[in-house]
Amino acid sequence: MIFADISPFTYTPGATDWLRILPELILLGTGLLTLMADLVAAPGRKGWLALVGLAGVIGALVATVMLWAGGTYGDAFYGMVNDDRVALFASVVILFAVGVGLLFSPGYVERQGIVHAGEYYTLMILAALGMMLMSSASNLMMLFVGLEILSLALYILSAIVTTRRRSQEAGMKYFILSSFASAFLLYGMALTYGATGKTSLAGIRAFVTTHAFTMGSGFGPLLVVALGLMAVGFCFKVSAIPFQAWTPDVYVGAPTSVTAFMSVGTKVAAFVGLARVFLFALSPLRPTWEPVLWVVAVLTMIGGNLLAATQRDVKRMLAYSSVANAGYMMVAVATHTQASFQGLLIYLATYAAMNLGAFGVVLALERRDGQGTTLDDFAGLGRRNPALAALMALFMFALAGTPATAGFIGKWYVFYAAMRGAHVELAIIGLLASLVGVYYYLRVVWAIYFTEPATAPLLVTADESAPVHEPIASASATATGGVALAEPATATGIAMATRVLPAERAPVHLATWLGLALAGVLTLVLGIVPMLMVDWALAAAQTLVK
Amino acid sequence: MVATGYLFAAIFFLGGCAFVLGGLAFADTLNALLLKGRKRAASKFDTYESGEIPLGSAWVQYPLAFYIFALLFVAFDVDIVFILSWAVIFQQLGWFGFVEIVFFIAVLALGLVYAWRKGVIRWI
Amino acid sequence: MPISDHVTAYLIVSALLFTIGAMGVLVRRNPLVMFMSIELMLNAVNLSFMAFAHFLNSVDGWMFVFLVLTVAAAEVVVGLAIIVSIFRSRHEIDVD
Repeated sequence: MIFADISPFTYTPGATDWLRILPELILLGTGLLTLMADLVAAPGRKGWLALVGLAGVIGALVATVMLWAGGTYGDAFYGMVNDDRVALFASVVILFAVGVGLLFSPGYVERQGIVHAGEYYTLMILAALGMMLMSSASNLMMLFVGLEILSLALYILSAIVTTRRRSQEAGMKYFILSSFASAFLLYGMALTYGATGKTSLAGIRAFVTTHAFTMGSGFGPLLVVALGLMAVGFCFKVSAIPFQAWTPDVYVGAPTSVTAFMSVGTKVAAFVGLARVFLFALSPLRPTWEPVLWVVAVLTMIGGNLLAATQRDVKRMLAYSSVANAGYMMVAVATHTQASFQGLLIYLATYAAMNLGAFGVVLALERRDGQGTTLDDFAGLGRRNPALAALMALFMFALAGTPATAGFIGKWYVFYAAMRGAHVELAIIGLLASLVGVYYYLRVVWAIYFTEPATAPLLVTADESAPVHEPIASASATATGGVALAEPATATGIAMATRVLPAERAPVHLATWLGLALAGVLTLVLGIVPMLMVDWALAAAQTLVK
Repeated sequence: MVATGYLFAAIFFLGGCAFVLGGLAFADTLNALLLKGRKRAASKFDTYESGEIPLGSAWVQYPLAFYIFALLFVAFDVDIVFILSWAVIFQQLGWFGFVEIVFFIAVLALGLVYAWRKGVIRWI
Repeated sequence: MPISDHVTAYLIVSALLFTIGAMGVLVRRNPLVMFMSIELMLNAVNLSFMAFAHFLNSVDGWMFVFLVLTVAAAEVVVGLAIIVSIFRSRHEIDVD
């Protein structure tokens, strides 16, 4: 009998266990609720599902803040999840990302004619649930399950625009490559389990602390291979070079609201997971993994920035910029001090604010066929839509790392920690790489304010794919139909007036404005008065990295 | 020490690749040595249909409903893993375990309700 | 040292299966085949989990295998659904 030598074991969770996963429970309930509400919602009028989802997200946010204020954090469910301050900090960022993502959605879902609007909102919320579970995991099993929940939801979300080929291809590509990476990560977990006999992160840490690590020790080779495999898996998920190949295509092909949410949420979850495994559980093996992450950080910073600088399409540029930002965050992981982990958390929070905002502006400009996001489309935006232009300029300055914006704070803490943590070279490479970043971010600002839109006769073809499923009848959908030929104009003033840009004829949705305003305010607030967040990040960092 | 570790990992990886590629090469060579030079007759390339003469292409399209049914089956089928492992020790788990499994099945049922209301289960 | 020598054989088989799966994903261009290769990789991992669980005499590995099985099934469903959805609109599937 195979189970004979394992003593019977039962674990009955108490009230504390349930309380500690309250934010996740609220999100789960909201997800199921939106799924069921979708069944009774009239087709074409599903915007209110976003409100239901938003209410759930706010509820979860309140629960998270209460848990933080209550200060009773720790393991729950037999050490499966750990709602320590790191998890709560990450949860707040993830909930902010999904909240803003939901705000961006109603207008965009209508304009893109997404048929499965109900599923869309459900999957957004479930993806956020997976991210929160992953960032609060204190066991390899939970880490894997959280990762898969978020990935599975995001595969579908990337492919959800059934009338657009690029979206479906993005979903397919993301699916194949991401499952491939998951398998690597999982194999790494299996070998870690084999080497240490534990799946809980605390157990693994205890084992590698007490056992001397040598290659001849039986578990040594296993652990080295495991480290490599897990590093590959995580680097894939955070889109670090050399595993970034999927990022631009998926980010460009996926609906922009999903990209905005995904680029932030996945990074938070994957980096916190990476930190839990490498900075906490396998921290004693630092000499082994540090060189690998060092190389990845350098490659990602340089490569990401150089690739981003060559892009004409702003959405694709932002995709590569998220690769570059993964490099800065990787610097924080490779440095491996308490200050650098604090820097990582700060960077994640600030990155969330400015990146969501930047994608939000792109989303507001994007037309029905997924076009309208190149630099040329941004030309003269400063006069056509001053508010949107100002917001985009703010986010671009923030991403470039200008002082008094959130981007500066994030970079400052990461690079300062790297300098103090005996990685001056990483800080220098990072600073030089972000100089390249200044070029391509400010090029957008230049296009917005100092260039004029093309005056040549302009053929605006809308709708490459004739709608197979009849999309929601909306003002924006009809506005984009057909082929419009803009008249040639001589004076630039007339050129701007006659240029047919359906995205601007259909006004930006109120909820989108709200999301943009939230992101903009946060970008400024985190840049000007960051001390509160810095203290929170420090409190969080102290619980994980001693 | 560290470098040795990577060396080991690299050797393992290369060994794995060599095994796969070597196997493919071996099979190819074997194929070339043993099976080459036989007579090629048209009937040898026919689809084998138990003596019947094959009709039409094998690449007929099945209705998509088959796939969707199969997908639904896979989605619900695997969950038996958890129900079974609960059933093995349900007496030890007591009422708490019962409530848990009821919740689990309820969530699955919600999924089924969703599929039903979306008209997936209806046979064409 | 928690690992006995007998586990090695299982690990070698598992590593080979994993490598074959990985090569399949990299070499083949048909998404269905790539997809089967990914399943092969996941099941190779399952094999090593079970071998470890048996030889370490710990139940964690089996639990992990259950989770991986379920997740793999969910992946099958989502992946095939995406393939079907692409097929509906294009009538051909190829990752290139």
